[in-house]
Amino acid sequence: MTSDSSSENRDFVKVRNLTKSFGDLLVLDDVSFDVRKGEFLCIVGPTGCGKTTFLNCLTKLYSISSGEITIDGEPIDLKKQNIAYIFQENSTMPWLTVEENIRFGLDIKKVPKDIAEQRVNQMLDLVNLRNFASYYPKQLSMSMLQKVGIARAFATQPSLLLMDEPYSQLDLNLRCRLEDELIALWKREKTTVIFITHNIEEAVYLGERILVLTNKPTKIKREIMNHLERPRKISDPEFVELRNEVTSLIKWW
Amino acid sequence: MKKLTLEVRQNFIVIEYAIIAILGFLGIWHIAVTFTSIGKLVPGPLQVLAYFFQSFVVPIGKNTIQEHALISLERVLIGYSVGVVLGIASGIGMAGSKLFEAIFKPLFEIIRPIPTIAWIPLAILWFGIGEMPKYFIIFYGAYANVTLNTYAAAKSVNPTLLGAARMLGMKEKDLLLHIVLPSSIPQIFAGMQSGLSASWMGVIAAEMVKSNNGIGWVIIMGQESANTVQILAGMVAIAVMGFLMASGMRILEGRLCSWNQKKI
Amino acid sequence: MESKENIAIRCENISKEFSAKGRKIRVIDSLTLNIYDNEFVVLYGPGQCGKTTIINILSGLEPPTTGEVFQKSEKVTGPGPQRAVVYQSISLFPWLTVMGNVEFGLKAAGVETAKRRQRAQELIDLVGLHGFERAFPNSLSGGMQQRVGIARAYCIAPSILFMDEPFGALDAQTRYMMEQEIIRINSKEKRTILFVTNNIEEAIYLADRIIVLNNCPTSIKKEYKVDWEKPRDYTDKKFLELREEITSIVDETL
Repeated sequence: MTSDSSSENRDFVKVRNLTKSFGDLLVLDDVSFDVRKGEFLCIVGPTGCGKTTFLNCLTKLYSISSGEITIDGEPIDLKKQNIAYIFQENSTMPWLTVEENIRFGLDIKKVPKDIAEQRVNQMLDLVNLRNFASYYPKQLSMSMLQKVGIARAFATQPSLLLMDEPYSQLDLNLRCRLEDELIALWKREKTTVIFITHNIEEAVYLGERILVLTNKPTKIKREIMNHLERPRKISDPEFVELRNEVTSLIKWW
Repeated sequence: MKKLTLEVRQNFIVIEYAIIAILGFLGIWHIAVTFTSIGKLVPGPLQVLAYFFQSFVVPIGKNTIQEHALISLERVLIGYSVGVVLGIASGIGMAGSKLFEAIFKPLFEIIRPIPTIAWIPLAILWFGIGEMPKYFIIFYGAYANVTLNTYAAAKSVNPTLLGAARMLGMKEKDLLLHIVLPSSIPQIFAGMQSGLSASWMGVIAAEMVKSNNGIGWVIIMGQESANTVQILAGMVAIAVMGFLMASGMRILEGRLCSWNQKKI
Repeated sequence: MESKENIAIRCENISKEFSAKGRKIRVIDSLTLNIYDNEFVVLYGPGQCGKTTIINILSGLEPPTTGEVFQKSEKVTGPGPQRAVVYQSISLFPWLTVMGNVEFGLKAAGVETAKRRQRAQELIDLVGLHGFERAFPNSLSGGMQQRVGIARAYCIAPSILFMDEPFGALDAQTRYMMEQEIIRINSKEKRTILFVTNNIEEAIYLADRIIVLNNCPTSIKKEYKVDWEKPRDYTDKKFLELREEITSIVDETL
């Protein structure tokens, strides 16, 4: 993934002076950062650092107290812009098959049937769920359900993909496989991804850049570039060094 | 402390809207009665409220309206308490004893669809004229609801809790009282709330059929003397009593079940 | 030294079958385990391969289909305070305070109030919850609730402690903290512990011995002895090497 350093791509997503309070409780304190188009950004912070609040501000669930968030120059707008999210809790629709779930977003956007079908098939192959296309969610394991959610999100070619600890409920070994799949998808689709997690190893495994948050009132503590080549190895001394660096910035236990 | 102000502020907004809604309703009622033909059938709110407040001093029959209300309430409290206690015992009993369950569950299933009020004629035949049939109806309304809720809760106790209690050394015979019962309290309480509604509805109905005091009697007297204002005043009394009881139950719930709500 | 005398709990050729929809499903197949006194043994295996069933059988909550379990020289026939369990899911009694939960076992055993309060208080302090005695579980975080569960289990002075993925519902960092806490608590009050997890980092961090399990039907795949000092470093070279080795031999099902 070559980095395009032309200015129009550098600040595709702009977060400026994002501040959020609940009454007198200051949760987010003047948070500012940019995300390059097509970048895979990981945000990691200590337990209780207001990441849910941050996400909810991004998805407009909460109103911002002050500051602004723009995508490609326009203020963030869920109706106009194509923003997808994947959360920890699975949100596949139990009354639709795997195939129908993946096609869901495309149908809403009224994508023509043949293009939609092609896209769904592509996604099914990329997450290795080809053989389960007509299964219902209740027949699938948790990791498969998360794959469906991810395929569904990528299917609509979102301008921004937000991911909040999608793998935290899964076994460690499954996580590695799914993370590799995610990277493969990302490279192919060139989607801009903001991945939020408490798992430091995961952040180092996935991110091109890592933002480390502080505890509440939350600010950005450090920005760390991650130039490790992919596929990354968790036992690699450079990986370990980076992981330890991030851990030392966060460690409260 | 400051966080409380936010909550209090939010509560004020809710109360504001409630007051606006009620005043709005009264306003529409008043306008409808004054300016349309509804006024021939139904008296206006001012008339009703005047009569209502007046009857705090001027008795209807032998008692003032607050005395009637207290008479009804007293009947409810007696029948209701007995119903709740026996209901909890029955529910726990059915859940704990397979024999008990086998005998009584089918009976309950058959009787369940029969509304409390349908028992009034039978109660009068059985218990005669007087207080007993009223107490029976009130009792039954509470008993049926509480038993069913208690039974359902007791049957669906989290098995992990039972396993943990056994693991910690609790004897089988103690599980029913010390694990099943406390973990069922929130649902029992729900049964107590619906039981209270049923008892209250039961007493009004019973008083309408055969009584010489109580709110139900006030209403039926209003009908017999074609005094619509009295009927509506009686209904206002029911609404006020209902509101007070519901608030009371909510406070009780806060005390009894505070461990149930997720606080984090 | 390992000999028959200091086996805390053992089972021989345990198997467990469930009948579902007319078919018999074998969940555990021919399991033989010896757990020695004061050992910290970790049962590691991916997914839902029957690890909880093993705990249920060893602690006496469920009977095996074949085979027997012996604690010291006595056959295990039911649950009891000698075989304490810390569960993953909600297992605290929500209508009791922290103190009420922790002293529960001693109360059920008829220990007098002053004595049991004192012991319960010791453990509440040990798990770092001093000051929370009168709190109800619904006002505690996940990590704190698990600490209460641990204190409650220790309180009945069991000779073996089973922990069934106790930190599975916690986020990655709280999990690291609790792993540290378990090491600390165990160093103060040493017990025989059988700990179940599907998290390889957790397994290597905690274990004196790791028993790697196969998928359904569950049986032992391989055992590893880990006699390094504690507390350990997750990014230590030999830690990562062992992690890689175990990860590569484990069955994975999607």
